[in-house]
Amino acid sequence: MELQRTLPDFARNGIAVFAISYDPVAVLTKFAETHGIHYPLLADEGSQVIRRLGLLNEHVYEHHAVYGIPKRDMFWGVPYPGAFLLDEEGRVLQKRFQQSYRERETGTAILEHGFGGNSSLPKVAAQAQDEEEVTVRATLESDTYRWFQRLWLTVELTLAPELHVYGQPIPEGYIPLSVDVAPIDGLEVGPANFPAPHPYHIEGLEAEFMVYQRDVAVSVPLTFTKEGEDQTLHVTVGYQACSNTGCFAPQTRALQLPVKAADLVERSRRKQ
Amino acid sequence: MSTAIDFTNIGPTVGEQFPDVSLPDQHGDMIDLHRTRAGRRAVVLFHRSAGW
Repeated sequence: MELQRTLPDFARNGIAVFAISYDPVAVLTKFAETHGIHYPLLADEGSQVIRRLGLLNEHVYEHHAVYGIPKRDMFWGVPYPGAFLLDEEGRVLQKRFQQSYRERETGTAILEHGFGGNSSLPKVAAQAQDEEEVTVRATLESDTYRWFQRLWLTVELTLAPELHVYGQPIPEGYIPLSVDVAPIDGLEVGPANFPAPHPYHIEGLEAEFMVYQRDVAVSVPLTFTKEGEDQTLHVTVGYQACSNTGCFAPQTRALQLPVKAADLVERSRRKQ
Repeated sequence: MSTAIDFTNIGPTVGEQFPDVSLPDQHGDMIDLHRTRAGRRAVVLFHRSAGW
């Protein structure tokens, strides 16, 4: 399991890891043995704690209706899927919850986006640089995808000091920064998170532009909803770099990120 | 798809003390979350069954 592999990184960052589900101890014993899990898997059989904390997933049947899954009692009692991040005093620092019980984040995402720590697990990255001194880097937070696990794609641009690229809203005729991921069967691409651009005036022009300068990071949530083959993500980054005195031609940078399917042994074990 | 769930007020809120939780782990040992945490930061994951 991916979280187990991130465990040394959590430990190095001084962070304890706990998981809670409604399973009886026996189910968790087997699960921990099968997957070699060493962090505490807590058995909230009967969902008492899940209820007390107000986390009983009351939307579970709606999701099933969407996926055409028949209503069964075993689904009742599951919590909303997600994580609480606690500080040293035990206060809630952050809540990271998913909309569907099927989805989950990687340990890397929790550690890096949540706690600001560093994961040592392999990522995949690709980079392109053009003559206008714009560097485009794409990083996928894991080199391996798992069924319904959310993976964050981060696209970073580094611009030469005199340059800017455009954000939204944008006057007609200008080209905004864009990030696109080519469709793959079974890949859900969530909306890209762009940072807030800042207003920018160009001498002699009336219009106010919303721009990015120096370092820009755009993140895109990806979820593979089918298990299968190793894949390659094709990421296209579009922008037009300008300075106070003029613009370069619009650019599109194509970056490729290979991502492996989680190994078959792990998957077949999980299906048992 | 139904409208997105707002998790702000579902469960303990940001800034609030996370409640005391004591549950058996995979070895059957009772784990007191805050005591085991022992002053460390922590991540508490809630997930669907390990059995399906």
